[in-house]
This record gives sequence, C-alpha cells and structure tokens, in this order.
Amino acid sequence: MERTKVRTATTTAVVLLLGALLTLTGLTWDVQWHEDVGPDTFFTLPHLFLYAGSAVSGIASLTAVLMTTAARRAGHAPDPTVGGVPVGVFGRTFTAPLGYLVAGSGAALFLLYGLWDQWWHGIYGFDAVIDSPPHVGLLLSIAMTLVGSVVVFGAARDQPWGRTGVFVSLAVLAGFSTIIAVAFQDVSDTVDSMHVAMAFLVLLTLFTGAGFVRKGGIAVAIGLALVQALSWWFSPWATRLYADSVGLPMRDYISGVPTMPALMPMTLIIVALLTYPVIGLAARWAPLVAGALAGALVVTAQAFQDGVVYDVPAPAVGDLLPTILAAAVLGLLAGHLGARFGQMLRLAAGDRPEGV
Amino acid sequence: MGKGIAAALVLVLLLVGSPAQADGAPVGQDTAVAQTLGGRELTVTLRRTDGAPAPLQVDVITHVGSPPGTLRLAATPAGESPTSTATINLRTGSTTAYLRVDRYGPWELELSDGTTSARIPFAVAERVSPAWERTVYGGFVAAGLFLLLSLLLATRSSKLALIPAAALVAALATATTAALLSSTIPPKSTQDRPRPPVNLAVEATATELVLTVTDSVTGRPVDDLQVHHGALIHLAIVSARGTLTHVHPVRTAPGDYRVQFAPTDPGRHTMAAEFTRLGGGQQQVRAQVDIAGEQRQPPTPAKGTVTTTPLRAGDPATLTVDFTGPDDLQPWLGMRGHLILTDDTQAVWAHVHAMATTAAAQPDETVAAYPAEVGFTFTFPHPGRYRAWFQAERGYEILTIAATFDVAP
Repeated sequence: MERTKVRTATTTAVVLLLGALLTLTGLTWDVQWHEDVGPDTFFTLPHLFLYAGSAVSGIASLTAVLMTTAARRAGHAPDPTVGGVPVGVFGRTFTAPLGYLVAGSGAALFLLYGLWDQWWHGIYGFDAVIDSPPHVGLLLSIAMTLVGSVVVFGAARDQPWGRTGVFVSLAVLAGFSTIIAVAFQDVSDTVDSMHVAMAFLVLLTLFTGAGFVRKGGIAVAIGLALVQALSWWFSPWATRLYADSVGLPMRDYISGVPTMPALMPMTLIIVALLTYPVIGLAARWAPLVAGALAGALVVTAQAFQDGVVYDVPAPAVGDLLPTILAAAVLGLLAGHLGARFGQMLRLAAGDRPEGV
Repeated sequence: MGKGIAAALVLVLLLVGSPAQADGAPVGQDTAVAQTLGGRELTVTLRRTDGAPAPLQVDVITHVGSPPGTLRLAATPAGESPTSTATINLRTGSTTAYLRVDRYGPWELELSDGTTSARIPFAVAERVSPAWERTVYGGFVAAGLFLLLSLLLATRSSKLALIPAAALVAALATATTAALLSSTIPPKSTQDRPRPPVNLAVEATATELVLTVTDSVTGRPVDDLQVHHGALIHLAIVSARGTLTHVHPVRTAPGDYRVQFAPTDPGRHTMAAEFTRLGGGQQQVRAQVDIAGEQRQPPTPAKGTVTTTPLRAGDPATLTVDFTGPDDLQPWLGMRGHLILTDDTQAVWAHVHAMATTAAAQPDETVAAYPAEVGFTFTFPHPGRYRAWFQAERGYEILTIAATFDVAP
C-alpha cells in the first residue's frame, strides 16, 4: 500500500472509532444521568454525545465509501484493506467497502430511530425506560456501527493499527452490549435473563476476538476492563459535574454505583485466561466447550459481583442453577458463533470472501 | 478527511463550551391546596397528569379535629358538566381518589361534603415542542435519510452521491446549530402582566365569613388567584382577646370565597388575607368585621417553648420555637413552620415562614421528618408590644403556640 493511501485509510478508521468512543461515553453518562438526576430532554449533553458520535461515524463511513467510489471511477482497483472487501449488492452492480457500509448504515438508522423515539416520548412522557422499543432500535443501530468498525479494522489486519483497532472496537462493542442486555430483564423470573443475555453478548465479542487471533480473547477482556475502569470513574463524575452546572439536584436515593459499568463482568480476564487452553485444542468441539464453560463462569461471578457492588446477599447456589444452565447453553452458542465470526473477520480483507 | 476531524473537533469543543439546559421536561407539577371546607381543614393535592386523557390522582389530607365523613369529588372542564366523579371516606391522614381528565386546558375540581362545596381551578398542560426542538430532530432525521441515500448512490459509483452527501452536512449543521443555540433562547414567558390590587369585602353570617374579591379597577369579580404557599387565600383572623384562626376559604364561584367560622369570643375580629394574582406578586389585604356570638372555650395551645435573640427595633431577630418531642414535624402548606405577628395597633401584620427546603418543589405533607425546633428570622420595624402565633404540623394536627414580645427601641 502506498503511504498516502495508508494515511487516508488510518484517518477514516480512526475517526470512525472516535465516533464509537463518543457514543459509548455519551451512553454510560446518559444512563447514569437518568439514574442519578432524571430529567430527560433531547438537549442534555450526554444525548448530544450520543448523536454526535453517530454523526461522526456516519460522516467517516460516507467519506470512505465516496473515496472508494471516486477511485473506481478513476479506474483504480478497489483496495480491500480499506474498510474490507467491496461487496456486491443487488446482483453485484454496487460495490462499497463492507465495514464502512455497515457502520454508515448503522449511523443512518440511529438518526432515523431518533424520530420514532421523539414520537414515543411524546406519547408516553419523558420518564424514559432503557428498554422501550425505539431505544432498543437506537441501541441496535449503535451496535451495527460498532460491528462495522470491527470489520474496518479487521480488513487492515496486516497493519499494527488494524489489529489494535480490532481489539479496541471489540472491547467497546463488549462494553456497549451490556446495555442491550437490560432489554431482556423481564424475560424470565427463574433465570436471570439480563445476566444471561449480557454473558452471551460479551462472550460473543470475546470469542470473535479469540477466533481472529488466538490471544485475541484475552485482549478483548483487557480492553473491556479498561472500558469498565474508565467509565466507572467517568460516568458518576460527569453526571455530578453536569447536574451542578445546570443547577439540578442529585436524587437523594442514589446508590453511588455506576449503573452501566456495574453491568460489565469484572471477571472476564480470568474467564479468558481459563478458556484460553481449551480454545487452543484442535478439536471441533473446543470453541463450544470453552463457550459453555465461560458462560457458566460469567453469570456465576456476576451474581457475586452484584452482591459486592450493591451490597446485597448473593443468591443461593440452588437458585443460581437455572441461570448457570441457560448461560452455559447460550455460551456454547457464543463460542460457536464467535469462532466463526473471528474466521470471517480474517477474510475481511480477502479478495474472495467465503462462498464467492 | 481532514475536514471530518476538524468538524468532529469543532463539534466537541462547542459541546463542552455550552452545556445544554435540561429544562422544561415534565409538564405541570403537583399542586397542593389547603381548603377549609365546612368544619374540616383539608389539604387537597392534585398530582401531575402526564398528557390527556389521563388519570388524575387527588390526595386529600384530613387534619386532626376534622370530623370523619364522605367527600365527593368531581373533575369538570371549565364551563361544562363533570366528566368524572369519585367519593372518598375521610379519616385523619391521607386518602386517595382517582379521577380522569380527558382534554387539555382549564379544569375545576369540585369538592363537596354535602352542604358546602369548593371549586379549585387547575390546568392540564399540553407539552408543546418549540420550533428549535423540531429543527434539531428534523435535522438529525434528515441527516440519517441523506446518509442512507448517499451510501446507496455511492455503492452504484454514481457521482450523484455527492448531492445527498452535501445535504447530509447541511442537515447536521442545521441540527447541531439549533441544538447548541437552543440554550441561549429564553423560554417562552408564561408570565402575564401584573394585575391591579383587589378590593376585599367581608361579611359575617351566622356560621360563615363570605369574602367578595373584586378588581379595584374594573370592579368585576377576581378569578385569577393562583395557588400560593399551598392555598388560594390564606386568611388569618385575630379576635379582640387575641385568639388566632388560620384558615383557607374555599372558592364557590368567581370572586366568591367562603369559610366556616365560629368565633370563640364575640366582638371585633381583624383579619389579613394573603394571595397572589396571575402575573402579580403577593398581596395582603386587611379587613375587620364585628361578629356576634357566645363566649366559647378557645382551642388549647400546643406544648412548647419560645426563645429569642435580643429584640431591638430595626435589628434582625431569631425567634425559635421548640414544639418538643421527636423530630417528626410535617410541612404544612409547604413550610416547616408559620409565624403570624401583629403589633398592638395592628399597623404591623406579618406572616413569616420557616422554609422546609430550598428546592422549588413543595415538600410532601406526609413526610414527618422535620426537626421539632423551628427558627424564624424577623426584623421588628418599631418598638412596642407584639403578639405572635407559631404554627406547625405533627401527626396531621395543626399546633399553635401564642407568645407576646416586648421590643426595645
């Protein structure tokens, strides 16, 4: 790759990641704001971070897509290391770098879901819950942008910044996906469905990392620990600062625990290290066993983490069993899918993706 | 691509530079209105409705000394017939009734104990999105649409992709500009112009005082009294022998307020009515009336002691009343304590409050957690003898302690 091309590819990818980081910052802050202060209008600073994050990601994606188009029109062959393989859509008449296409579509959907969200709040009021349908739409759109970011960096895996970017993006995706798990909190009473969903989503990113590079799972776990530590400090601090600056009082019953960082598993590094030898086995069942084991470990540890963080008694092992079983089954699926996704990610820069 | 970074940087700088105001979110608020209905002293709290149609929760607090009985409530759109009614059995403490409101605008809550009825005006507010809010949402949505369109055209290698891309930038610029400038737009004023003072005529019948409130300019009935310190009108009545009655006349019709009143000693009664008109500050109007009747046992004063800092005319003094017992006072009319002061000639007539909280919202009367010792600050304007009545609430009972002060020159 020529030097200017590398620089351009790095810039668009970094701006895309910057948008993702803005979004994650805005999200942890926003969740904390609703928990500790309350009033929700569109015009809070955390909301502007969320929207700005998507807008920045969207502009970066569009720029990359337009540049690819311009290069094609000028007669250059598209470079698959910029944002991934050009994909054929609708009978191979269209081409675009896959990662940027996914990320850009996610950003566009996020902006569109904003209208539904405003309508929803107009009907049901401003006492928002995190798992309202438009919110789930908004969160899935963000997840889509983050997946796009993973693909963009995955395509540049022959570069050091590309490999680093994959694990940063996967860690951001893992940290972000914990909030999606909140939407599952009312699914079941016998099973702690929120924890099971959290374990599934986090392990999916972990095993994608492990499928991409063997030590990748550990890298994702370390990245998530960094995300957790930073947001643990940032979200309550920013919430208090912002409430003070706009003259709103903090609620008098706040627990002092940062909501979203507390949902992230603290034990993921240990889980990644414990399952690392299993993943290394050549057997076809290795990712499945590693996934099931990791799922059971994550939900068990999470129950005790809640106990420590919120100062509540940890559930009895008997009550925990259904949750552990469900997490093991879904963890098995996460292991299976993650290993496949990791392999697909390695093909992101390939000229001939699987099946073509 | 440098453009993207520059745009992102500017955006971040702007965001950090001007925090958006988190205001105007929930529409309306709870309204607590003290009502002296018949022989009962009630606090009627209309909970905030979120939109319309919506349930309307009304909490009625009955104070000690009010007889049990039934109360009929009806929600009536202004000038129409009731759309929703409820009946509750009153007992000391809080009782809840559920009504429904089916439209936005002015409403009246009618309370009736069978013989007397009161009509409390209230409003069901509609949330109106200001133009800049619609611009921000519209801008972001348009940006989303243009982004999709541009991506689609770019994948077809079409030069046309640049058109929606430019539109995307314009839409984002519009939305962020509107969002960031919105904090500098002053909220639309709902404040009306101040209204003129009122004329108050008080007439005593055998059982009640009839207050006729008219506009001092037009002479027409005044119907724009606002709920102020938890009541439409606060009426403090002092008998010739120095017994205080603090009641809250009920509105029966525009400009017509009534309160049941049985004097403990006949003769001249002086009174001060405090209220606020729409758009105006607080007014205090004085009146006096001669009431015939028989000598009756005055209400027993509450237990407690009063201490003060040295009392000198012109110097702020701290008057502290200790109601003794545990720290379980309740906020009555949103305040930890009330102090009514008059001098010998009644040239001075003051109503002083001990605030419960600095927050704008009125604390809930059911919260029994305020200290038994209540402090007031007052500057006596001239020397002489003053009468004072301290009031607070405990266990839904209104406690009153009377005191006399001699103020040095």
